[in-house]
Amino acid sequence: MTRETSEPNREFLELLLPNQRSLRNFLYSIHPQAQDLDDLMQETCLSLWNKFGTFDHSREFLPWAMRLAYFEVLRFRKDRSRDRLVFSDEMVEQLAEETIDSPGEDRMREALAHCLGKLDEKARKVLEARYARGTSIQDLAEARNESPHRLYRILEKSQASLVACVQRQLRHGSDLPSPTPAS
Amino acid sequence: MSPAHPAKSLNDLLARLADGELSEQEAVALEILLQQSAENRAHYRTFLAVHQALQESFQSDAETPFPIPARRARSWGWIAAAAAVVLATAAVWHALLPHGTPPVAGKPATAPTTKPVLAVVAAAEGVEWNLPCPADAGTQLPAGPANLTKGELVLTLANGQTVSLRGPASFNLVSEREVDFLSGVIGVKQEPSQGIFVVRLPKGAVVCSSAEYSIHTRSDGVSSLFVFSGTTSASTVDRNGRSREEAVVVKGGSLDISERLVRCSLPGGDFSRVPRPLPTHESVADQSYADAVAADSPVASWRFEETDAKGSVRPTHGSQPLDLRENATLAGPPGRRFLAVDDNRRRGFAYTAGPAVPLTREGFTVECLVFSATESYSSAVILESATTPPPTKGSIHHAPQICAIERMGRMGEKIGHIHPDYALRSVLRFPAGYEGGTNVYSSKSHLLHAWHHAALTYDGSVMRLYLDGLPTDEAATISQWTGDTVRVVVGRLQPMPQDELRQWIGGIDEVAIYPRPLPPDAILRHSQALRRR
Repeated sequence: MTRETSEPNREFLELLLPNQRSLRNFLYSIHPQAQDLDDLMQETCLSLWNKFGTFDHSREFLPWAMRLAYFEVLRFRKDRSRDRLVFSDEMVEQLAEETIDSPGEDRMREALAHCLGKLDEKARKVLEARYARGTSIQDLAEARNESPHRLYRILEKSQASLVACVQRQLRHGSDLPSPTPAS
Repeated sequence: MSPAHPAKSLNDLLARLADGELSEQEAVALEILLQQSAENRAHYRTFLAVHQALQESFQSDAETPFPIPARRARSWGWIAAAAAVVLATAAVWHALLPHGTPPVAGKPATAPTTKPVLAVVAAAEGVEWNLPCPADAGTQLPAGPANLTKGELVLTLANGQTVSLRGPASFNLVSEREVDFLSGVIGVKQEPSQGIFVVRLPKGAVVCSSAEYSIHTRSDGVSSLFVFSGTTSASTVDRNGRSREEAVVVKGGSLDISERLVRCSLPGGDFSRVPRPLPTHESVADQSYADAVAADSPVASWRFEETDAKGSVRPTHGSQPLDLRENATLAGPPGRRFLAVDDNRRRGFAYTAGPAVPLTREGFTVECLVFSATESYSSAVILESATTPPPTKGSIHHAPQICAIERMGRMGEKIGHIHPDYALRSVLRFPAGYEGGTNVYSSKSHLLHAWHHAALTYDGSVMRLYLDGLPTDEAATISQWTGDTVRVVVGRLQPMPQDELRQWIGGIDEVAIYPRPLPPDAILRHSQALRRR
């Protein structure tokens, strides 16, 4: 492999891989339609690769990638203009501008790990039932002989508590009261 | 709004978004909330990031780490390298990131948020139960079992039957016309128009179409039936749940239902009458709501806080008092009073009999708070034309309507419209009339036993209905609006006793009319100024 071909490849991947999650979260935040995420991510990666020659290596990769991702979302929305879109163009633009300047993925994940550690066992089980593959709240309710309605309430409270806890952590980094959901 | 304690509506909308269930109207509501503050947008971003991270965290065990591409042979050209990158990046999102499945995966299609409502709590006193939601009036219940450990609970069922339960009691809402009653004391009141209703018991069943009766089921599975009015059919059932021995029990009759039907062994005091629907005790609007309304300068409004020397409700804006007709009254503590009406002791309505309220071609907004205590189809606020007199001949004696805000019954009942059961309806008629016009309905059903904020805006071409601050339906009107002056009827369809009444049963408060269509953020601001529990 010559340097001309191998180095851009490797350098691109070394920059892209650690920022994949952030890029995906960014796409989801300005186009919150999960069914489109894979397509958008693919289009964005191709666009990043095609334009990688224009990337200024003295600057951060992620803001550059997010801006290109934003244009991919606009193009995607234009192609799907007859479909139902969640947000207006103005809202997408505002969210994109603010998200590019928001805290990094790593800090958010650290905060989330901290906050998850404060959940009680039941709340964690409910979250697992909601998010893990092959399980569901209904399954958990049947296994525990509990009302699904009650478990959904616990899920909602747990989600809200986690978000509030993560925001506190990002803002203050403080060790605030446990987000254990009410029973 | 504090970002650590966002309004419940924002969290609700985000949960719906994450579940892939956000409707078009909810998307509009979400965008309005996000436009309101940077805190809301920060909360939105964090919510979605946490949602994504949780998916990844709980699904990571099943995923294969992304392989760092191995160096290729020197013979590969640039195109091959680019292809490798494309394949590698494709592999990244398919292998490293576990997000290929929509967020709704794993969640049953019958989640509580989408289950049909089978009952609404009408009243609760000292209730402790095993359900996660509080036993507050207005709480909606889907199918499923419930254990009432103590207290008195009154439910309005989907078909309109009223059921009272005295704890400890155990029951299971099966369908719109069937409930399993396993233990405790239950009272059932059933009107002929509400169809057939079946109460399944441990050793039998009671079926009726028109009666008030009570059943006491003991721990040994034996049930005692007492009929207060009407006629019921009682039976034992076999292992397959089919009727075997049967008996008709009429008013004043009683029966024990076990393996056999035998003479009742319980005194009358062990049974439970179904109480009349309980009114609300106070409005959810106080001065902060009144201030929010005043900031948007209504042309006419009534807080229903005080009456003048003639006993009419003083206007807060405009000069038209609202006469309290028949037995309509104001109820509630000072600052939280409201118009209390029903079809019994408080049967009546409020009416601007004097000079009418002018509305121009710029459009208008009608806003109010409503609390409906029964399933009956009823009118909350009517704007009738002050310039078009009633017909001189025929069976109608009241002026034609321009605008109505009503709470419907079940879909198709009374006037044959299609809508969610017990939804809010608004209709506009230009020119003023008694039928026809353009309708909008709330997407939320079963608006019973709780205060709701309702607003209709009309900009001269499109009418928009808002429920609890959020847009819920809209429609373009076909006819041309050129302005009119109106009289306001509150709590009834029209003021003449000989015509159809559609009597409101419950409470109405804070009626306001604006001479223009209020924007969505103003409606939301008003609703958020309410003091809900």
